[in-house]
Amino acid sequence: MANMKNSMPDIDERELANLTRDLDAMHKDTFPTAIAALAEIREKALDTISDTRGLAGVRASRRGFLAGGLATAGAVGGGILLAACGTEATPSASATAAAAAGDITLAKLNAGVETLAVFAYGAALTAAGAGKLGAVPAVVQQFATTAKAQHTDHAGAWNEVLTAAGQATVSKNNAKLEPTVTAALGSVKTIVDVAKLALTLESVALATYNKNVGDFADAKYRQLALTIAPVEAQHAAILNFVLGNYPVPDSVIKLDGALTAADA
Amino acid sequence: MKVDDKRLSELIEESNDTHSDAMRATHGAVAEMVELRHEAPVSELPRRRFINRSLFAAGALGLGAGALYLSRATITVNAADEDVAYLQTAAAIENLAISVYTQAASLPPALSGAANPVIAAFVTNTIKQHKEHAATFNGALTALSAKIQSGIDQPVQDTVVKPALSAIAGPADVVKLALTLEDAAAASYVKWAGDADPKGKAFAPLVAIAPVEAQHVAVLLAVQGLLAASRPDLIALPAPVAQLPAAAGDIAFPNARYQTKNARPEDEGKVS
Repeated sequence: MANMKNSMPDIDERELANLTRDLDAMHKDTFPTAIAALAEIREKALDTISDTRGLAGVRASRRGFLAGGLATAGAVGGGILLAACGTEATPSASATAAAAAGDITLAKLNAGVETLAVFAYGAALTAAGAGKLGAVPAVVQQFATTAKAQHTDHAGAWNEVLTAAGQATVSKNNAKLEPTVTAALGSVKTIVDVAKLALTLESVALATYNKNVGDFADAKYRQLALTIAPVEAQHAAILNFVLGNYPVPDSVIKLDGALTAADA
Repeated sequence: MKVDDKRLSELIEESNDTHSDAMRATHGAVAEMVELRHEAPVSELPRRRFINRSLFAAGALGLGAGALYLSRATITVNAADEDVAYLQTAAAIENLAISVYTQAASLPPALSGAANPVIAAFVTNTIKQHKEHAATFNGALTALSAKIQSGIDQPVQDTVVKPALSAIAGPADVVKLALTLEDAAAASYVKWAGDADPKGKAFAPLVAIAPVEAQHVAVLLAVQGLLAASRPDLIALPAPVAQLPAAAGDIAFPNARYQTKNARPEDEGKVS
Protein backbone atom coordinates (compact mmCIF):
# COMPACT_ATOMS: atom_id res chain seq x y z
CA MET A 1 0.00 0.00 0.00
CA ALA A 2 2.85 2.38 0.82
CA ASN A 3 4.31 2.10 -2.69
CA MET A 4 0.92 2.54 -4.24
CA LYS A 5 0.29 5.62 -2.17
CA ASN A 6 3.62 7.17 -3.03
CA SER A 7 3.24 6.62 -6.76
CA MET A 8 -0.38 7.71 -6.86
CA PRO A 9 -0.94 10.56 -9.29
CA ASP A 10 -3.17 13.45 -8.37
CA ILE A 11 -6.68 12.79 -9.61
CA ASP A 12 -9.87 14.70 -9.18
CA GLU A 13 -13.14 13.48 -7.71
CA ARG A 14 -14.70 12.92 -11.13
CA GLU A 15 -11.84 10.68 -12.23
CA LEU A 16 -12.02 8.84 -8.96
CA ALA A 17 -15.77 8.30 -9.42
CA ASN A 18 -15.13 6.96 -12.94
CA LEU A 19 -12.41 4.62 -11.75
CA THR A 20 -14.59 3.39 -8.92
CA ARG A 21 -17.43 2.73 -11.34
CA ASP A 22 -15.07 0.79 -13.62
CA LEU A 23 -13.81 -1.25 -10.70
CA ASP A 24 -17.36 -1.98 -9.58
CA ALA A 25 -18.30 -2.98 -13.13
CA MET A 26 -15.34 -5.38 -13.24
CA HIS A 27 -16.44 -6.91 -9.97
CA LYS A 28 -19.97 -7.31 -11.23
CA ASP A 29 -18.81 -8.77 -14.53
CA THR A 30 -16.40 -11.29 -13.18
CA PHE A 31 -17.42 -12.57 -9.78
CA PRO A 32 -20.99 -13.53 -10.64
CA THR A 33 -19.67 -15.49 -13.62
CA ALA A 34 -17.10 -17.32 -11.56
CA ILE A 35 -19.49 -17.92 -8.68
CA ALA A 36 -22.30 -19.09 -10.93
CA ALA A 37 -19.92 -21.44 -12.73
CA LEU A 38 -18.67 -22.79 -9.43
CA ALA A 39 -22.20 -23.19 -8.12
CA GLU A 40 -23.24 -25.06 -11.24
CA ILE A 41 -20.30 -27.42 -11.34
CA ARG A 42 -20.51 -28.05 -7.63
CA GLU A 43 -24.21 -28.85 -7.86
CA LYS A 44 -23.49 -31.35 -10.64
CA ALA A 45 -20.72 -32.98 -8.65
CA LEU A 46 -22.92 -33.20 -5.58
CA ASP A 47 -25.71 -34.70 -7.63
CA THR A 48 -23.33 -37.29 -9.03
CA ILE A 49 -22.06 -38.19 -5.60
CA SER A 50 -25.51 -38.25 -4.07
CA ASP A 51 -26.57 -40.56 -6.91
CA THR A 52 -23.71 -42.85 -6.01
CA ARG A 53 -23.68 -42.70 -2.25
CA GLY A 54 -27.01 -41.37 -1.09
CA LEU A 55 -27.81 -37.87 -0.08
CA ALA A 56 -26.97 -37.99 3.60
CA GLY A 57 -23.24 -37.48 3.23
CA VAL A 58 -23.40 -34.48 1.00
CA ARG A 59 -26.20 -32.40 2.42
CA ALA A 60 -24.03 -30.84 5.07
CA SER A 61 -21.31 -29.83 2.63
CA ARG A 62 -23.93 -28.54 0.19
CA ARG A 63 -25.23 -26.27 2.95
CA GLY A 64 -21.65 -25.28 3.73
CA PHE A 65 -21.01 -24.34 0.14
CA LEU A 66 -24.19 -22.33 -0.15
CA ALA A 67 -23.38 -20.50 3.06
CA GLY A 68 -19.84 -19.84 1.82
CA GLY A 69 -21.13 -18.79 -1.56
CA LEU A 70 -23.58 -16.39 -0.03
CA ALA A 71 -20.85 -14.93 2.14
CA THR A 72 -18.73 -14.46 -0.95
CA ALA A 73 -21.59 -12.88 -2.80
CA GLY A 74 -22.10 -10.56 0.11
CA ALA A 75 -18.46 -9.57 0.00
CA VAL A 76 -18.62 -8.66 -3.66
CA GLY A 77 -21.92 -6.93 -3.75
CA GLY A 78 -24.65 -9.03 -2.17
CA GLY A 79 -27.43 -10.94 -3.83
CA ILE A 80 -25.47 -11.55 -7.01
CA LEU A 81 -25.07 -15.25 -6.38
CA LEU A 82 -28.78 -15.76 -6.05
CA ALA A 83 -29.43 -13.85 -9.25
CA ALA A 84 -26.71 -15.75 -11.09
CA CYS A 85 -27.93 -19.12 -9.86
CA GLY A 86 -31.44 -18.22 -10.91
CA THR A 87 -30.21 -17.44 -14.38
CA GLU A 88 -28.30 -20.70 -14.68
CA ALA A 89 -30.92 -22.91 -13.09
CA THR A 90 -33.34 -22.90 -15.99
CA PRO A 91 -31.25 -24.71 -18.66
CA SER A 92 -29.73 -27.08 -16.07
CA ALA A 93 -33.16 -28.04 -14.79
CA SER A 94 -34.40 -28.64 -18.32
CA ALA A 95 -31.45 -30.87 -19.13
CA THR A 96 -31.96 -32.83 -15.93
CA ALA A 97 -35.65 -33.28 -16.64
CA ALA A 98 -34.94 -34.50 -20.17
CA ALA A 99 -32.33 -36.96 -18.93
CA ALA A 100 -34.64 -38.18 -16.21
CA ALA A 101 -37.36 -38.91 -18.77
CA GLY A 102 -34.99 -41.24 -20.63
CA ASP A 103 -34.01 -42.94 -17.39
CA ILE A 104 -37.64 -43.44 -16.42
CA THR A 105 -38.43 -45.08 -19.75
CA LEU A 106 -35.52 -47.51 -19.40
CA ALA A 107 -36.41 -48.24 -15.77
CA LYS A 108 -39.94 -49.10 -16.90
CA LEU A 109 -38.55 -51.30 -19.67
CA ASN A 110 -36.42 -53.23 -17.18
CA ALA A 111 -39.26 -53.52 -14.66
CA GLY A 112 -41.52 -54.94 -17.38
CA VAL A 113 -38.93 -57.52 -18.45
CA GLU A 114 -38.30 -58.58 -14.85
CA THR A 115 -42.05 -58.82 -14.19
CA LEU A 116 -42.37 -61.05 -17.24
CA ALA A 117 -39.56 -63.29 -15.96
CA VAL A 118 -41.31 -63.60 -12.60
CA PHE A 119 -44.51 -64.48 -14.41
CA ALA A 120 -42.81 -67.09 -16.61
CA TYR A 121 -40.98 -68.85 -13.75
CA GLY A 122 -44.17 -68.72 -11.69
CA ALA A 123 -46.20 -70.28 -14.50
CA ALA A 124 -43.58 -72.99 -14.97
CA LEU A 125 -43.56 -73.80 -11.26
CA THR A 126 -47.34 -73.95 -11.26
CA ALA A 127 -47.32 -76.25 -14.27
CA ALA A 128 -44.68 -78.42 -12.62
CA GLY A 129 -46.71 -78.57 -9.42
CA ALA A 130 -49.74 -79.65 -11.42
CA GLY A 131 -47.72 -82.47 -12.99
CA LYS A 132 -47.95 -80.98 -16.50
CA LEU A 133 -44.22 -81.19 -17.14
CA GLY A 134 -43.60 -84.79 -16.14
CA ALA A 135 -41.09 -85.59 -13.42
CA VAL A 136 -39.45 -82.41 -12.19
CA PRO A 137 -36.04 -82.93 -10.55
CA ALA A 138 -35.52 -81.18 -7.24
CA VAL A 139 -32.57 -79.24 -8.64
CA VAL A 140 -34.78 -77.72 -11.33
CA GLN A 141 -37.46 -76.81 -8.81
CA GLN A 142 -34.80 -75.12 -6.68
CA PHE A 143 -33.35 -73.27 -9.66
CA ALA A 144 -36.75 -71.92 -10.76
CA THR A 145 -37.78 -70.94 -7.23
CA THR A 146 -34.60 -68.95 -6.57
CA ALA A 147 -34.46 -67.43 -10.05
CA LYS A 148 -38.07 -66.28 -9.65
CA ALA A 149 -37.23 -64.74 -6.26
CA GLN A 150 -34.24 -62.91 -7.73
CA HIS A 151 -36.26 -61.55 -10.64
CA THR A 152 -38.84 -60.41 -8.09
CA ASP A 153 -36.04 -58.54 -6.32
CA HIS A 154 -34.95 -56.99 -9.62
CA ALA A 155 -38.47 -55.88 -10.51
CA GLY A 156 -38.83 -54.47 -7.01
CA ALA A 157 -35.58 -52.55 -7.35
CA TRP A 158 -36.69 -50.91 -10.59
CA ASN A 159 -40.07 -50.09 -9.11
CA GLU A 160 -38.35 -48.52 -6.12
CA VAL A 161 -36.44 -46.13 -8.35
CA LEU A 162 -39.62 -45.36 -10.25
CA THR A 163 -41.42 -44.61 -6.98
CA ALA A 164 -38.52 -42.44 -5.84
CA ALA A 165 -38.83 -40.50 -9.10
CA GLY A 166 -42.53 -39.94 -8.47
CA GLN A 167 -43.56 -42.39 -11.18
CA ALA A 168 -46.13 -45.18 -11.17
CA THR A 169 -44.69 -48.64 -10.64
CA VAL A 170 -44.79 -51.32 -13.33
CA SER A 171 -46.84 -54.41 -12.55
CA LYS A 172 -47.52 -55.58 -16.10
CA ASN A 173 -45.36 -57.86 -18.21
CA ASN A 174 -43.32 -56.28 -20.97
CA ALA A 175 -45.84 -55.96 -23.79
CA LYS A 176 -43.36 -56.68 -26.58
CA LEU A 177 -42.32 -60.08 -25.23
CA GLU A 178 -45.47 -61.18 -23.45
CA PRO A 179 -47.32 -62.68 -26.45
CA THR A 180 -44.32 -64.83 -27.39
CA VAL A 181 -43.76 -66.01 -23.83
CA THR A 182 -47.44 -66.71 -23.20
CA ALA A 183 -47.64 -68.73 -26.41
CA ALA A 184 -44.50 -70.66 -25.50
CA LEU A 185 -45.76 -71.39 -22.01
CA GLY A 186 -48.94 -72.77 -23.53
CA SER A 187 -46.99 -75.36 -25.46
CA VAL A 188 -44.29 -76.48 -23.01
CA LYS A 189 -44.47 -80.16 -22.17
CA THR A 190 -41.14 -80.91 -20.52
CA ILE A 191 -38.53 -79.37 -18.28
CA VAL A 192 -36.28 -79.01 -21.30
CA ASP A 193 -38.96 -76.87 -23.02
CA VAL A 194 -39.17 -74.68 -19.92
CA ALA A 195 -35.37 -74.39 -19.68
CA LYS A 196 -35.16 -73.30 -23.31
CA LEU A 197 -37.81 -70.64 -22.76
CA ALA A 198 -36.12 -69.48 -19.57
CA LEU A 199 -32.76 -69.27 -21.34
CA THR A 200 -34.30 -67.09 -24.03
CA LEU A 201 -35.79 -64.78 -21.42
CA GLU A 202 -32.58 -64.55 -19.41
CA SER A 203 -30.55 -63.85 -22.56
CA VAL A 204 -32.93 -61.09 -23.65
CA ALA A 205 -32.85 -59.54 -20.17
CA LEU A 206 -29.03 -59.64 -20.10
CA ALA A 207 -28.70 -58.19 -23.60
CA THR A 208 -31.23 -55.48 -22.75
CA TYR A 209 -29.32 -54.44 -19.67
CA ASN A 210 -26.00 -54.39 -21.47
CA LYS A 211 -27.29 -52.52 -24.50
CA ASN A 212 -29.00 -49.75 -22.54
CA VAL A 213 -26.89 -49.32 -19.41
CA GLY A 214 -24.76 -46.60 -20.95
CA ASP A 215 -27.84 -44.57 -21.82
CA PHE A 216 -28.82 -43.95 -18.21
CA ALA A 217 -27.99 -40.37 -17.27
CA ASP A 218 -28.30 -41.08 -13.56
CA ALA A 219 -25.42 -43.06 -12.10
CA LYS A 220 -27.59 -44.89 -9.59
CA TYR A 221 -29.74 -46.35 -12.37
CA ARG A 222 -26.59 -47.44 -14.18
CA GLN A 223 -25.20 -49.05 -11.06
CA LEU A 224 -28.42 -50.95 -10.47
CA ALA A 225 -28.39 -52.30 -14.03
CA LEU A 226 -24.70 -53.20 -13.68
CA THR A 227 -25.29 -55.31 -10.56
CA ILE A 228 -28.31 -57.11 -12.02
CA ALA A 229 -26.91 -58.03 -15.45
CA PRO A 230 -24.26 -60.47 -14.11
CA VAL A 231 -26.93 -62.34 -12.17
CA GLU A 232 -29.01 -62.81 -15.33
CA ALA A 233 -25.80 -64.07 -16.92
CA GLN A 234 -25.37 -66.60 -14.11
CA HIS A 235 -28.94 -67.82 -14.55
CA ALA A 236 -28.21 -68.27 -18.26
CA ALA A 237 -25.00 -70.19 -17.54
CA ILE A 238 -26.78 -72.73 -15.35
CA LEU A 239 -29.63 -73.09 -17.85
CA ASN A 240 -27.06 -73.80 -20.56
CA PHE A 241 -25.53 -76.41 -18.26
CA VAL A 242 -28.93 -78.02 -17.72
CA LEU A 243 -29.52 -78.07 -21.47
CA GLY A 244 -26.16 -79.72 -22.11
CA ASN A 245 -24.55 -76.63 -23.63
CA TYR A 246 -21.23 -75.13 -22.62
CA PRO A 247 -22.21 -72.72 -19.81
CA VAL A 248 -20.05 -69.74 -20.88
CA PRO A 249 -20.46 -69.68 -24.63
CA ASP A 250 -19.15 -66.18 -25.36
CA SER A 251 -16.15 -64.17 -24.21
CA VAL A 252 -18.18 -60.96 -24.32
CA ILE A 253 -21.92 -60.61 -23.85
CA LYS A 254 -23.82 -60.50 -27.13
CA LEU A 255 -26.62 -58.00 -27.61
CA ASP A 256 -28.85 -60.15 -29.83
CA GLY A 257 -32.52 -59.70 -29.00
CA ALA A 258 -31.94 -56.68 -26.76
CA LEU A 259 -34.98 -54.52 -26.22
CA THR A 260 -34.76 -50.74 -26.47
CA ALA A 261 -36.56 -47.81 -24.90
CA ALA A 262 -39.17 -48.05 -27.66
CA ASP A 263 -40.15 -51.47 -26.29
CA ALA A 264 -40.95 -50.16 -22.81
CA MET B 1 -11.02 19.33 -5.85
CA LYS B 2 -8.11 17.57 -4.23
CA VAL B 3 -8.44 13.96 -3.30
CA ASP B 4 -8.11 12.94 0.32
CA ASP B 5 -5.13 10.60 -0.05
CA LYS B 6 -5.70 9.00 3.33
CA ARG B 7 -9.34 8.25 2.58
CA LEU B 8 -8.47 6.98 -0.92
CA SER B 9 -5.85 4.65 0.54
CA GLU B 10 -8.41 3.32 3.02
CA LEU B 11 -10.91 2.75 0.24
CA ILE B 12 -8.36 0.94 -1.91
CA GLU B 13 -7.31 -1.16 1.05
CA GLU B 14 -10.94 -2.08 1.69
CA SER B 15 -11.32 -2.96 -1.96
CA ASN B 16 -8.20 -5.10 -1.80
CA ASP B 17 -9.50 -6.87 1.30
CA THR B 18 -12.80 -7.51 -0.43
CA HIS B 19 -10.95 -8.92 -3.41
CA SER B 20 -8.80 -11.11 -1.20
CA ASP B 21 -11.79 -12.40 0.76
CA ALA B 22 -13.72 -13.14 -2.39
CA MET B 23 -10.80 -14.87 -4.06
CA ARG B 24 -10.08 -16.94 -0.96
CA ALA B 25 -13.69 -18.10 -1.02
CA THR B 26 -13.45 -18.79 -4.74
CA HIS B 27 -10.20 -20.71 -4.36
CA GLY B 28 -11.75 -22.66 -1.51
CA ALA B 29 -14.68 -23.60 -3.67
CA VAL B 30 -12.38 -24.58 -6.53
CA ALA B 31 -10.27 -26.71 -4.23
CA GLU B 32 -13.40 -28.40 -2.93
CA MET B 33 -14.52 -29.03 -6.51
CA VAL B 34 -11.23 -30.72 -7.34
CA GLU B 35 -11.61 -32.88 -4.26
CA LEU B 36 -15.16 -33.76 -5.23
CA ARG B 37 -13.99 -34.62 -8.73
CA HIS B 38 -11.70 -37.23 -7.21
CA GLU B 39 -14.73 -38.80 -5.57
CA ALA B 40 -17.10 -38.77 -8.52
CA PRO B 41 -16.92 -38.04 -12.22
CA VAL B 42 -18.29 -34.82 -13.65
CA SER B 43 -19.30 -34.76 -17.26
CA GLU B 44 -16.94 -33.15 -19.75
CA LEU B 45 -19.24 -30.39 -20.97
CA PRO B 46 -19.96 -28.65 -17.68
CA ARG B 47 -16.30 -28.98 -16.70
CA ARG B 48 -15.21 -27.31 -19.93
CA ARG B 49 -17.78 -24.55 -19.48
CA PHE B 50 -16.67 -24.12 -15.90
CA ILE B 51 -13.02 -23.90 -16.85
CA ASN B 52 -13.72 -21.49 -19.69
CA ARG B 53 -15.77 -19.25 -17.46
CA SER B 54 -13.36 -19.45 -14.60
CA LEU B 55 -10.40 -18.66 -16.83
CA PHE B 56 -12.32 -15.73 -18.25
CA ALA B 57 -13.04 -14.49 -14.76
CA ALA B 58 -9.47 -15.05 -13.65
CA GLY B 59 -8.15 -13.29 -16.72
CA ALA B 60 -10.44 -10.35 -16.19
CA LEU B 61 -9.13 -10.03 -12.68
CA GLY B 62 -5.55 -10.48 -13.77
CA LEU B 63 -5.17 -13.59 -11.64
CA GLY B 64 -2.50 -15.56 -13.39
CA ALA B 65 -2.02 -17.70 -10.33
CA GLY B 66 -5.70 -18.65 -10.37
CA ALA B 67 -5.46 -19.67 -13.99
CA LEU B 68 -2.43 -21.81 -13.26
CA TYR B 69 -4.29 -23.45 -10.39
CA LEU B 70 -7.25 -24.22 -12.60
CA SER B 71 -5.10 -25.58 -15.41
CA ARG B 72 -3.49 -27.96 -12.93
CA ALA B 73 -6.94 -28.99 -11.73
CA THR B 74 -7.89 -29.70 -15.33
CA ILE B 75 -5.00 -32.10 -15.72
CA THR B 76 -5.84 -33.77 -12.42
CA VAL B 77 -9.45 -34.37 -13.33
CA ASN B 78 -8.86 -35.77 -16.82
CA ALA B 79 -11.41 -38.56 -17.18
CA ALA B 80 -9.21 -40.38 -19.69
CA ASP B 81 -6.63 -40.94 -16.96
CA GLU B 82 -9.22 -42.85 -14.96
CA ASP B 83 -10.13 -44.94 -18.00
CA VAL B 84 -6.47 -45.80 -18.49
CA ALA B 85 -6.25 -46.96 -14.86
CA TYR B 86 -9.38 -49.11 -15.20
CA LEU B 87 -8.18 -50.65 -18.45
CA GLN B 88 -4.59 -51.31 -17.37
CA THR B 89 -5.68 -52.88 -14.09
CA ALA B 90 -8.33 -54.94 -15.86
CA ALA B 91 -5.72 -56.21 -18.32
CA ALA B 92 -3.43 -57.03 -15.37
CA ILE B 93 -6.23 -59.02 -13.72
CA GLU B 94 -6.86 -60.90 -16.96
CA ASN B 95 -3.16 -61.63 -17.42
CA LEU B 96 -2.97 -62.98 -13.88
CA ALA B 97 -6.01 -65.21 -14.49
CA ILE B 98 -4.35 -66.59 -17.64
CA SER B 99 -1.19 -67.26 -15.66
CA VAL B 100 -3.02 -69.02 -12.83
CA TYR B 101 -5.20 -71.21 -15.06
CA THR B 102 -2.12 -72.10 -17.10
CA GLN B 103 -0.19 -73.08 -13.97
CA ALA B 104 -3.19 -75.08 -12.76
CA ALA B 105 -3.37 -76.89 -16.07
CA SER B 106 0.26 -77.93 -15.69
CA LEU B 107 -0.43 -79.65 -12.36
CA PRO B 108 -1.07 -83.40 -12.26
CA PRO B 109 -4.73 -83.92 -13.31
CA ALA B 110 -5.62 -85.51 -10.00
CA LEU B 111 -4.42 -82.37 -8.26
CA SER B 112 -5.88 -79.79 -10.64
CA GLY B 113 -9.17 -81.56 -11.25
CA ALA B 114 -8.46 -81.76 -14.97
CA ALA B 115 -9.02 -85.51 -14.84
CA ASN B 116 -12.66 -84.52 -15.17
CA PRO B 117 -13.24 -83.61 -18.84
CA VAL B 118 -15.70 -80.84 -17.97
CA ILE B 119 -13.16 -79.18 -15.70
CA ALA B 120 -10.41 -79.66 -18.29
CA ALA B 121 -12.60 -78.06 -20.96
CA PHE B 122 -13.49 -75.24 -18.60
CA VAL B 123 -9.82 -74.45 -17.94
CA THR B 124 -8.99 -74.48 -21.67
CA ASN B 125 -11.97 -72.32 -22.65
CA THR B 126 -11.51 -69.93 -19.75
CA ILE B 127 -7.86 -69.30 -20.60
CA LYS B 128 -8.98 -68.48 -24.15
CA GLN B 129 -11.69 -66.12 -22.92
CA HIS B 130 -9.36 -64.32 -20.52
CA LYS B 131 -6.87 -63.86 -23.37
CA GLU B 132 -9.64 -62.26 -25.42
CA HIS B 133 -10.56 -60.03 -22.46
CA ALA B 134 -6.95 -58.89 -22.03
CA ALA B 135 -6.77 -58.14 -25.76
CA THR B 136 -10.02 -56.17 -25.54
CA PHE B 137 -8.80 -54.04 -22.65
CA ASN B 138 -5.43 -53.49 -24.29
CA GLY B 139 -7.18 -52.58 -27.54
CA ALA B 140 -9.07 -49.86 -25.69
CA LEU B 141 -5.77 -48.63 -24.22
CA THR B 142 -4.29 -48.44 -27.69
CA ALA B 143 -7.30 -46.40 -28.80
CA LEU B 144 -6.50 -44.01 -25.96
CA SER B 145 -2.83 -43.86 -27.04
CA ALA B 146 -1.95 -45.26 -23.62
CA LYS B 147 0.50 -47.99 -22.67
CA ILE B 148 -0.87 -51.49 -22.87
CA GLN B 149 -0.61 -53.76 -19.85
CA SER B 150 1.24 -57.00 -20.55
CA GLY B 151 2.06 -57.75 -16.91
CA ILE B 152 0.05 -59.36 -14.14
CA ASP B 153 -1.71 -57.82 -11.16
CA GLN B 154 1.29 -58.06 -8.85
CA PRO B 155 -0.44 -57.25 -5.52
CA VAL B 156 -2.94 -60.06 -6.09
CA GLN B 157 -0.16 -62.36 -7.23
CA ASP B 158 1.83 -61.62 -4.08
CA THR B 159 -0.96 -61.67 -1.51
CA VAL B 160 -3.41 -64.20 -2.95
CA VAL B 161 -2.02 -66.36 -5.72
CA LYS B 162 1.47 -67.16 -4.46
CA PRO B 163 0.36 -68.43 -1.03
CA ALA B 164 -2.59 -70.31 -2.53
CA LEU B 165 -0.56 -72.04 -5.24
CA SER B 166 1.98 -73.27 -2.75
CA ALA B 167 -0.78 -74.82 -0.63
CA ILE B 168 -2.73 -76.65 -3.34
CA ALA B 169 -3.60 -80.16 -2.21
CA GLY B 170 -6.39 -81.00 -4.61
CA PRO B 171 -9.03 -79.75 -7.08
CA ALA B 172 -11.00 -77.92 -4.39
CA ASP B 173 -8.00 -75.67 -3.72
CA VAL B 174 -7.62 -74.88 -7.41
CA VAL B 175 -11.32 -74.07 -7.68
CA LYS B 176 -11.16 -71.86 -4.61
CA LEU B 177 -8.25 -69.86 -6.03
CA ALA B 178 -9.93 -69.52 -9.43
CA LEU B 179 -13.12 -68.38 -7.72
CA THR B 180 -11.25 -65.67 -5.83
CA LEU B 181 -9.76 -64.34 -9.06
CA GLU B 182 -12.97 -64.54 -11.09
CA ASP B 183 -15.03 -62.88 -8.38
CA ALA B 184 -12.46 -60.10 -8.02
CA ALA B 185 -12.59 -59.55 -11.78
CA ALA B 186 -16.40 -59.49 -11.94
CA ALA B 187 -16.74 -57.30 -8.84
CA SER B 188 -14.08 -54.88 -10.08
CA TYR B 189 -15.59 -54.50 -13.53
CA VAL B 190 -19.09 -53.99 -12.15
CA LYS B 191 -17.87 -51.36 -9.69
CA TRP B 192 -15.57 -49.56 -12.10
CA ALA B 193 -18.23 -49.47 -14.84
CA GLY B 194 -20.49 -47.83 -12.27
CA ASP B 195 -17.83 -45.21 -11.57
CA ALA B 196 -16.62 -44.71 -15.16
CA ASP B 197 -17.78 -42.15 -17.67
CA PRO B 198 -20.25 -44.09 -19.86
CA LYS B 199 -18.92 -42.24 -22.89
CA GLY B 200 -15.31 -43.14 -22.10
CA LYS B 201 -13.26 -45.97 -23.57
CA ALA B 202 -13.33 -48.18 -20.48
CA PHE B 203 -17.09 -48.39 -19.97
CA ALA B 204 -18.14 -50.64 -22.87
CA PRO B 205 -15.50 -53.37 -22.37
CA LEU B 206 -16.12 -53.45 -18.62
CA VAL B 207 -19.86 -53.82 -19.19
CA ALA B 208 -19.45 -56.50 -21.85
CA ILE B 209 -16.97 -58.60 -19.88
CA ALA B 210 -18.21 -58.36 -16.27
CA PRO B 211 -21.14 -60.79 -16.79
CA VAL B 212 -18.80 -63.32 -18.42
CA GLU B 213 -16.59 -63.33 -15.33
CA ALA B 214 -19.78 -63.74 -13.29
CA GLN B 215 -20.59 -66.80 -15.39
CA HIS B 216 -17.14 -68.23 -14.64
CA VAL B 217 -17.96 -67.65 -10.96
CA ALA B 218 -21.27 -69.50 -11.37
CA VAL B 219 -19.62 -72.54 -12.93
CA LEU B 220 -16.92 -72.61 -10.27
CA LEU B 221 -19.49 -72.30 -7.46
CA ALA B 222 -21.43 -75.25 -8.89
CA VAL B 223 -18.23 -77.30 -9.23
CA GLN B 224 -17.13 -76.31 -5.74
CA GLY B 225 -20.50 -77.41 -4.33
CA LEU B 226 -20.34 -80.80 -5.98
CA LEU B 227 -16.74 -81.33 -4.87
CA ALA B 228 -17.74 -80.41 -1.32
CA ALA B 229 -20.60 -82.92 -1.53
CA SER B 230 -18.07 -85.53 -2.69
CA ARG B 231 -19.93 -85.92 -5.96
CA PRO B 232 -17.34 -84.99 -8.62
CA ASP B 233 -18.99 -87.62 -10.82
CA LEU B 234 -21.96 -85.25 -11.22
CA ILE B 235 -19.76 -82.60 -12.87
CA ALA B 236 -20.71 -83.60 -16.38
CA LEU B 237 -22.16 -82.34 -19.64
CA PRO B 238 -25.01 -82.81 -20.24
CA ALA B 239 -25.72 -82.34 -16.56
CA PRO B 240 -27.22 -85.41 -14.87
CA VAL B 241 -30.16 -83.28 -13.78
CA ALA B 242 -32.16 -86.04 -12.15
CA GLN B 243 -29.26 -86.96 -9.87
CA LEU B 244 -28.16 -83.51 -8.84
CA PRO B 245 -28.96 -82.49 -5.26
CA ALA B 246 -31.57 -79.74 -4.87
CA ALA B 247 -28.94 -77.37 -3.42
CA ALA B 248 -27.08 -77.44 -6.75
CA GLY B 249 -30.03 -75.59 -8.25
CA ASP B 250 -29.11 -72.20 -6.83
CA ILE B 251 -25.62 -72.53 -5.44
CA ALA B 252 -24.23 -70.78 -8.52
CA PHE B 253 -26.01 -67.45 -7.97
CA PRO B 254 -26.09 -66.71 -4.25
CA ASN B 255 -27.09 -63.03 -4.56
CA ALA B 256 -29.85 -61.29 -6.47
CA ARG B 257 -27.42 -58.48 -7.27
CA TYR B 258 -23.73 -58.90 -7.90
CA GLN B 259 -21.74 -57.86 -4.86
CA THR B 260 -18.78 -55.53 -5.41
CA LYS B 261 -17.07 -55.74 -2.01
CA ASN B 262 -14.22 -57.77 -3.52
CA ALA B 263 -13.47 -55.18 -6.20
CA ARG B 264 -9.79 -54.38 -6.53
CA PRO B 265 -8.35 -50.85 -6.38
CA GLU B 266 -8.63 -49.34 -9.84
CA ASP B 267 -4.99 -48.26 -10.03
CA GLU B 268 -3.53 -51.53 -8.75
CA GLY B 269 -2.35 -52.62 -12.18
CA LYS B 270 -1.54 -49.24 -13.64
CA VAL B 271 1.54 -49.14 -15.86
CA SER B 272 4.05 -46.68 -14.48
